[in-house]
Amino acid sequence: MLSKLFTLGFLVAAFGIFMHAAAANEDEANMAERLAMLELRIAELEARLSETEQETEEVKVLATTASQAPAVSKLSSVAGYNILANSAWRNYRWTEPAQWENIRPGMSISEVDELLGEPPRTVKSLKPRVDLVYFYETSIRNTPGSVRGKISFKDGRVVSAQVPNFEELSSTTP
Amino acid sequence: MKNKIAIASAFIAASSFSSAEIAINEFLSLEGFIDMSYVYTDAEATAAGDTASASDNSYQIDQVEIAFLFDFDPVTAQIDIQFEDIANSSDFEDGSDGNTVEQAFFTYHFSDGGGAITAGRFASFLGFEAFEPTGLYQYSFAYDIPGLADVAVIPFYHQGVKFTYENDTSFFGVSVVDSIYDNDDDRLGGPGESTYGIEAAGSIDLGNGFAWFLGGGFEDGDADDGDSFVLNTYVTFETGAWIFAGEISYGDYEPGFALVGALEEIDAIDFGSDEEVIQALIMANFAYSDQGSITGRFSWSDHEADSSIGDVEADFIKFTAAHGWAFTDNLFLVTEVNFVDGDVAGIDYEALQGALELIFAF
Repeated sequence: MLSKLFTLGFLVAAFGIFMHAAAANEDEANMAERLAMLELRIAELEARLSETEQETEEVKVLATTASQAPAVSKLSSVAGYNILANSAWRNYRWTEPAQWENIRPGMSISEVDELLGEPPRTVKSLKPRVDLVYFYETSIRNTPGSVRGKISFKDGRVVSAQVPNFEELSSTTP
Repeated sequence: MKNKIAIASAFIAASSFSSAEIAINEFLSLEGFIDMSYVYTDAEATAAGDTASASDNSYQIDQVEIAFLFDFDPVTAQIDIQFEDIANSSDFEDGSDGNTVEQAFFTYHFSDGGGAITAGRFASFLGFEAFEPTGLYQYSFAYDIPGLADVAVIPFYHQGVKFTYENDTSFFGVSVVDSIYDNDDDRLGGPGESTYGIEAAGSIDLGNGFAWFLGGGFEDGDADDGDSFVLNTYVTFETGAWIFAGEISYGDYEPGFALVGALEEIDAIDFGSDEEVIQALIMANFAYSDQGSITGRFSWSDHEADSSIGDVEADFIKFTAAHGWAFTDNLFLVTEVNFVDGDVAGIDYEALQGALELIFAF
């Protein structure tokens, strides 16, 4: 009888230890899963924050650029800023010099869209070795403080890129 | 300058949204062009030893077009407003000005691939050559006979519904329209005798610069106009700075072409109806610099028709040499000389034409 009790006790203890270990493993797995979810969430929030910061910076750059143009009146300056702020859909990534550094011949149109955003103006080129031209510009005319760049495509691939003169722009910015 | 199709992906422009535009806001953008030209044409017809000749020179705005492009994803729409001198300068008769809605359609783009449904007034799938001057390598169309008429059997614009599917290497489209040749003023179906047209076309990028297109159209005419059909195929080959193209079309054009406005001897010929047409072209274009290109083209058109005086036959061969110079991405100058040698119901016909064309695109 005593040996049976001892054996039973041993089995119960072993089962308890096993269950405890299993529960610990389960807790550990749950913790790992929660940690992964948290990390993912943090990454998403960081990306959103970065994007928001960049867009804010781009609008600031454009607002600063616009302020370099001769102001006709206070109203025009305010209206211009509002237009710029309301035109955020255009995605002003192309106003950042760093975005242009990765533009290379042979890139696809979608890759350029990803880096610089969609351009305000495009033209189906009449030149024989170019199909399409992306114009990234704050003004069609070459006015002081304007940002102007363009990318030419042939068969959907970049053949040449004219990077905006950001150095000249920064020299005109106080 | 790019013709309507050199590779399969060019169909994106035809079946969905055009990519050249000035963005007005998130939903609306504009594009368009101004086309003007100076043209000199000299034509001569000889019948039974008697020769009649005529010449003409003119400068005019040929066409102005503004396209309004709407984007309400997944629905897009396009309206092309056009001013055009209806009688081409190659004709000797006075033209009349026209303001028209060249195209007006909306397209629903399926989210799960390259499929789309379009309804409205839109361009035909068929034909190697573009319908707009901004898409041509030269001034004239291959089957435009100076002093007579444009006798191309390829349809232009029509109204109806079409389904298109495209991916990176292929395209397919089918449309049900009121009339592939726009001869019938009725709505699709129309009162009384039913009329309709069907077009189907496909193209594939064969690789190594080759692309192949095959398409056709059928029109069920009413009691006055019988059935018409057309088959069209072409191959393009692009290598380096060279572009080559070859096209063949065969059709039965029920109303028959009207060769009017040139010389009385030909003007009087009735091409009647049930006109059988075979047409072909070969073209080579070489871009010798970033701005300049030269083009050579040979085109041939053969016609047989029933008329009040019995069977009437006509054939033309046309040689075209053109030079294009792009001052900028927007401004293009075309210089062209073309020569036509033909026979219209036993009348020998020759025409020489020179043209200077300036195109501004935006």
